[in-house]
Amino acid sequence: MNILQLLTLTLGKTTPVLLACMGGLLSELSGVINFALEGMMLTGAFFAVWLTYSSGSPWIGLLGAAAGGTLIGILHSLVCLRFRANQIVSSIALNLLAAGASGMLLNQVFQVYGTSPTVEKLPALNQLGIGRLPFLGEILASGAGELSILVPLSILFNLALIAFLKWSVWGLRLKACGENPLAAKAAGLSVNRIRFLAISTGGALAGVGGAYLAIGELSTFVEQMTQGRGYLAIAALILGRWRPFGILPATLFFGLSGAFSEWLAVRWTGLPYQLFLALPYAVCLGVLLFQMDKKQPPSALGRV
Amino acid sequence: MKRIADCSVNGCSVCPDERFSKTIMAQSQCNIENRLGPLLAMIPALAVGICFCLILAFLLNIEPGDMLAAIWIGAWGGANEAAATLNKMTPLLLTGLAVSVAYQAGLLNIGCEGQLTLGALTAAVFALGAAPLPWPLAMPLTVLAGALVGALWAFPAIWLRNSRGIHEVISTLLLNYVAIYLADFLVRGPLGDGTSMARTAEIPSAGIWPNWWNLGTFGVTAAPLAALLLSCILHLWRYQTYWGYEATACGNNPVAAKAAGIAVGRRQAWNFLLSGALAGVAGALEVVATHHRFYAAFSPGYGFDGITVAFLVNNVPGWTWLSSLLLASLRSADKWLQISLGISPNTIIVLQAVLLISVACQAGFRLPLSFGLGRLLERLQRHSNHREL
Amino acid sequence: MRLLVDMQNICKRFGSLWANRDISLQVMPAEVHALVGENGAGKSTLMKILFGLIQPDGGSLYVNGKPVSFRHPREALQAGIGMVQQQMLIFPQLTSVENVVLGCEPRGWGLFREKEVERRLLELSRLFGFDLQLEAMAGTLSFAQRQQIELLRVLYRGARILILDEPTSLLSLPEVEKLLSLIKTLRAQGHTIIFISHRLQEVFSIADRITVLRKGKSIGTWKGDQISSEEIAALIMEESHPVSAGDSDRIRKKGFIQAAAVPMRPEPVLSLQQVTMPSKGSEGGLDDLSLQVREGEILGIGGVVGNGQRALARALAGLEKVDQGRILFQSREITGFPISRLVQLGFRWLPANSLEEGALPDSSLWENMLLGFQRKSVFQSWGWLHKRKIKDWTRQELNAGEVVHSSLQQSISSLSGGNQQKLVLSRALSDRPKLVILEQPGRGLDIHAQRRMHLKVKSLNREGVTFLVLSYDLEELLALSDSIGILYRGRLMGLVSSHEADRGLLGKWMLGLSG
Repeated sequence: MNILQLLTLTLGKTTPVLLACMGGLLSELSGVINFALEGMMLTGAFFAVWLTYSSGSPWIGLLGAAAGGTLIGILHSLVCLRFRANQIVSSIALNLLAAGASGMLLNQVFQVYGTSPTVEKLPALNQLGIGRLPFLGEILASGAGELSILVPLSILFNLALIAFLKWSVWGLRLKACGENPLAAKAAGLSVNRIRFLAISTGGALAGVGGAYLAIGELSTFVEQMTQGRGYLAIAALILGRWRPFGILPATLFFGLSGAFSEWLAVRWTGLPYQLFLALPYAVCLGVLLFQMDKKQPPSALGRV
Repeated sequence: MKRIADCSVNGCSVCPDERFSKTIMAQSQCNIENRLGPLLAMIPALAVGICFCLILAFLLNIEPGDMLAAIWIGAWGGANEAAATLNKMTPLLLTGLAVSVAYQAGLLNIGCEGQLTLGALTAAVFALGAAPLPWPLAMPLTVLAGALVGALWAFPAIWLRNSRGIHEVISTLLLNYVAIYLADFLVRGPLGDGTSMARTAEIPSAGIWPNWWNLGTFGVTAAPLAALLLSCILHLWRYQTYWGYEATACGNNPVAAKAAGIAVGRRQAWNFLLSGALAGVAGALEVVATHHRFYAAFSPGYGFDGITVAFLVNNVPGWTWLSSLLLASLRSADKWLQISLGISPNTIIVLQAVLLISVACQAGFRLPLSFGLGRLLERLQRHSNHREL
Repeated sequence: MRLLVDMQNICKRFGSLWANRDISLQVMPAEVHALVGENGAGKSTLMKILFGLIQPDGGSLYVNGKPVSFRHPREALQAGIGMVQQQMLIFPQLTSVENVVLGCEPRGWGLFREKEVERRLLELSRLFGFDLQLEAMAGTLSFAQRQQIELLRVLYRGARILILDEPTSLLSLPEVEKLLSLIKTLRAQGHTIIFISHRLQEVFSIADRITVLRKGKSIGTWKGDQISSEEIAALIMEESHPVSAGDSDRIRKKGFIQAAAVPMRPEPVLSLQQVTMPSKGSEGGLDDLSLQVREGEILGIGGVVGNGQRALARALAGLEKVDQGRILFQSREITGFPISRLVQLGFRWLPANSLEEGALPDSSLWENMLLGFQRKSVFQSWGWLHKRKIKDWTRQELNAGEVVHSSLQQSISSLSGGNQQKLVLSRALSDRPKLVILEQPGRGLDIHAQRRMHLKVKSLNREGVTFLVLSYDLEELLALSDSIGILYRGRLMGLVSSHEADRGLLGKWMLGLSG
């Protein structure tokens, strides 16, 4: 396994966490704690497989994944904004709901337990016909071509998000709601509407992250397939200090630790495999010890 | 209540008789709210849960009555089912207590699952190693060992919070994964029984908790009784001692508690460790009373259920028996739902999520409810004042 | 003359309390209209209704003769009404520019055109003599600058009607004067200003007309030059029941209580030696501060907000460790003592915001009284709390402290703000403390409640309790303390006995000018 392969693996591991992390960023910058990313991803993954299965097109599956994540986002904003529930408890309940409902629907739709039938995947990079390009082609030939189209898309999304938050009026308004909702209201903004939009859009992004797992990497839905990636995304959010350009290196780091542990597992087959499974989480815990930056979380995070 | 307070701002004096009658009214209202508060939180949530069941039944083309009946039969249909439900109550009650003890100090312990797993593994290993000890010594020590390891697994989370400001929800969740893989590795490797079953050997009979009630084939072990006793002790600890008072103060307003000389960080840390220990005890009791050995992935998510158990009764330890009984009933009904109606057992998890959401939403609902109650009492009181005049 | 704003029979109920009951208010074009009244008289509620933050239960509202009803501040802003609120509504992690223009950003293609705004804002700042750093994060600015942000926010939108809700409460004397002259400039340019204040001198120096509110009702409107401040004070206070016969007479005669001449005892009970603390946000730190508090005196510390008063309070209360320097108490070093030791030594800290920093909002009254005393041997044995004893003691203390309550089980957040503060005060003073640090004791209290609090402090002081009062309100310090010191950038500018205090000198000290 060479460096290029490790890099490819890293990108593959980064993508779902990055997408979920962007979803979390949108929600938390608008002032609402969102630990429900796990549930959004899981719902997204299930909807992706379901709609791909019933429509035959993975692109419709991708849209479905976004819709599924949005659904959890809408529920979260409803519970937190309309009913003023504890945002963390609401997140936990929604994660539970997503886990239960996806398992239940799996049984209702496919009449199976545990794993869904295989469906068509989203196209990989070397299916796009860019393999004949001079430099890119060589990279693609060395294994990177297996990566899903969602990998470059997620990075594009991230750039778009950076631009949105830095230069657009709506990005500014979003941040204002997370800084001081009362002042935002007095300045004429509809705080709850902005928060609602932010959380649901974030849900769509996290749902796409789930779709990457289900129809980008694999081509099937497995119960609990997100495996805590939603929580890794929140850790990446903390590590990236709630900055849109901070979360990219943070998620890349988690992707690298995931890729590295897989690489180790191939290299040293004698070591227990559980070590490699646990490594990303342990690395994440270790990394939380270091704070890179002095920037504070949004001032009104968690307050309605 | 509110009106009297407002009167005082504007400085009008309240004649003593009137004040007296108002005091009584206010007190009775408060006492009702204090004593039955957990029930008042639980009943609307239950109503929502039942409505959800009915809607689900309608969507799945099942007789609504059948669905509720299936849950009842699955949990309490016969002696065996009742015994299983009562046995399931133990870990739920204890993880519920674990969550509520942490929440009392303003912390959320989502890591019960990991603490419970490692507590159970420790208890199994300890019981195997402590075979030569007589049972009066082996039994408590086994549980204590589980508690110790549970607390140990909670420690990094609270340390990260106090020294690095990392939210405990994140760290405990990550620790869960590490704990589960660690236990999996240990039980398949050095601590396993040599088979490919991912389990330890069976613990010697001296370490096994006896049955307390020979209900059905398997009977009810003494573990639920022990858990109930623990919940009573915790209730008294919380409401009658100054340690409990200080912990509640830390959860209620850490700034004020700190200014009053309470070492907030330390007090919260102790509560969090106690919470971890309780989760560890839950795991240990599962081993010594129910399974008699440790299996990998023996817990169907008891750690997460603890959150629902605690929040359903407003985190009051003395009422946890009720919510844990409810959740245990649901948990033991899931198999029966699958057999009799062909519904996925995951339905129960969805139902639990619905219960948790509806209980969490009551922060927005409570206000109009207590306003209504307050207005009613005000009217009654005005009425009684008229009669006095 | 045509009315600019006409509010008729406005009603608003919160639960069983009428915040506004049939209030009518008429505002003319280009006038400064002052709203005065006690705490809870309904001034802020009325203005929030005008600004669309709260919807009225009844009544009608006309602006420029047209009937309107604002469901959101956005609509009020469009109608040319802007409000500067009491608690400085800013976004700490956004820049000043972003703070000002939020909600009406000039944009092209959805992007925010920052340069264009900056030019406009510089113009406005120059016009009104503001000293605002446009690129700075708002969280790092002083309170006066934050207020400038809020004023700019309103002026930038071209509002013609400005509502200022207690704009002077967090400002120092020179800053207040600056603000008042700005208001006059604005009026000269044709703006209409509705001005809420507790301080009658300010009101009389600028107001054209004054409306008095009492208990949610309007008492009437007078022209500023046709009524005296004594008459207004009487109108505000009428029907309020006296503290107790003797004391209240004295208050009424003197207006403010004069500091009693207590013979100074020489030995310092508390001394700070070259204490340095880092600045935290906009609060300001301490820089090589040396200070002595003598036994049995009331020492007042004033200054502009953000010059280290809060750091001083937190250092003395033990909430934060000092960087350098020593703190001595009765000639014993107590630097870095944990709070529990300080409490044992007799230190008490009364935070500015009693509910947020000094009380357990969800807990009952007796639990709140117990806070800090839970380990006293009277109240517990072997960790077990003696609830009966605690409740008896609480009842006694609450009655002595005149905390109006209905039951010991009710939660403290169901009490009114004044009663919450009284409870926290009686808790702090219940066991004969040695040194009490009072932080902004008068904040949020109306004149009447303030006077009662001053009386209580005085009487305890006579019994030997030493007080350190930190306040931004010079009048309060003059009324309460034996001597006054002014902090500027974490240093003590000077210390003067309050009999000899000269407002001009104190004002100079506040701005960092000595002599």
